[in-house]
Amino acid sequence: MYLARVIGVHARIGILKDLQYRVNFAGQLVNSALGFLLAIGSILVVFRHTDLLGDWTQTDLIMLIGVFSIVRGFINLFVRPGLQAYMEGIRTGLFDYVLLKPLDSQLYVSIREFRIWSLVDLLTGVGLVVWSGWVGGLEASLFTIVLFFVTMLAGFSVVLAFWFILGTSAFWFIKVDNIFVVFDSLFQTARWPLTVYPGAVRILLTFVVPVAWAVTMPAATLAGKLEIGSLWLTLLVPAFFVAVSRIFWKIGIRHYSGASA
Amino acid sequence: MRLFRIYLLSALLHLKEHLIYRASVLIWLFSMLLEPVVFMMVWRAVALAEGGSAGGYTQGTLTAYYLALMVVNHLTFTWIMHEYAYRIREGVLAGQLLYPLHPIHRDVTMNATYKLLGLVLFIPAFLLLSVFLKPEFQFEPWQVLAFLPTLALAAAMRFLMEWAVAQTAFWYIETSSFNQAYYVATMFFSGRIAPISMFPDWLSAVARYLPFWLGVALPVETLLGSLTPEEVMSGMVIQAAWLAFFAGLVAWVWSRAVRRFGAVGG
Repeated sequence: MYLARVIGVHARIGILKDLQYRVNFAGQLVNSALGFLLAIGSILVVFRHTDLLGDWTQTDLIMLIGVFSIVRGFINLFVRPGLQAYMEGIRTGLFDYVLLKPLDSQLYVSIREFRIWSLVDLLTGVGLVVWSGWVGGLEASLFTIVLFFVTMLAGFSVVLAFWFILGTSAFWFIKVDNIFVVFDSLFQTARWPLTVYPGAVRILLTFVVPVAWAVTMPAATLAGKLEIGSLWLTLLVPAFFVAVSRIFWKIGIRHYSGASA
Repeated sequence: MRLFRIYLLSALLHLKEHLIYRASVLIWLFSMLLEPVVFMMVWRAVALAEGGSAGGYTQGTLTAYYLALMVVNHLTFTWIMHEYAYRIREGVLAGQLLYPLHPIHRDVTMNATYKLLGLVLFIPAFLLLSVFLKPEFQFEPWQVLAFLPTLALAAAMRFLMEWAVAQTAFWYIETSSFNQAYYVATMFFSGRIAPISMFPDWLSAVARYLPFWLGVALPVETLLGSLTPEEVMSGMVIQAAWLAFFAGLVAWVWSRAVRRFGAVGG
């Protein structure tokens, strides 16, 4: 309850902040629209030459792009700005004040910033998922839908944990803004289903840099492609990455000695 | 002679500058490397699903296409348009204007040294991926010979085009939407999301006249032999025409842009 109030307060401050820059909303709209043009265009070109990519149809892939932009919206909504603010804090010493707050520092860093215009990506993603489900004549049972939300949640936690693992290195290297470029470039792999990649790369994209996995899983669930046998991964992979990011963060905090004060 | 010495000194300076930020450079290079590899995987999967070939490309030739594209795109790209707004805002440009030399020369050496440095990563990556993915290259001597001038023209043309595009930062403070539109156009028309022959015929016919395709895919397809000598020749003529056009555009836009410029910082 207390946590919900804290998140609510930060979200409200974030919204008020962004409402001052309303032109950015138009910019975000244009950028998202162009991004979708590119994504849908590539899918259309690919499907001029085949009917099935792996076992994914064209509508399945549009659904995947929907999930992709939901995850991207999630990242840009608060993961990226939060971690950027944290890194800036490490450099300037303002991170001291994060540690003084009566709230878990890792939790605080992840909810502190809130960029409302990124909701455009998230909502368009939802729209694409619904639209492709409707066009594809998707008949999802209640079980599938519950499973979709579970895998989506698993995807969110994996991506968040992965960002933290990358970002925590700032405790040692101070100026690592470019580390997020690593994420962005790896995240391109998530625009296509895991089955596109050869075996070794697929394992890499599931267990080492689980970004493509995080997007493929929910889309596969909804498209009825999830093998029940691999369901245990949905719990194991996020649990593993969250645990690693947690341990890494704790070690990092101990290493932090303040920059100014 | 004087210009040559300036270029040499400025190249050394920029080489050292890139080496100072070597970790960042490595990260940027890695992300440039990954994009063609992802699309290669996608198209290999398509070819595999269609029984070995799609749109006239086999898995082996698709691999060759994207490996060559990976290197060519690295050699012709620029990042100038993502930096220009920052340069104006932070007063970097104000300082550059004090030199008795057009600031574009500085960007030429900065770009060239970055490319040179990048080859240290790209050539091993090219060889390593070749070992694992077995591309089918069939080189005719004339293809290799024609490749070099098409590449040089592509690099010069694309550099001037993107430099001209970057000048929009003089008129608009926020250029990200503009840059994104340019990015989407290049992705489509330069053969990066698919070899241009994979598009509908009318679209690929149009694309062959656009600077996007001429700046990346023309050298690639020349090297791989998917173009006839006549097509390569006419491609080079169109490249040269665009090059002249963009050189004029840069001169014209620059003269108007400097007049608009109110110095910031110092």
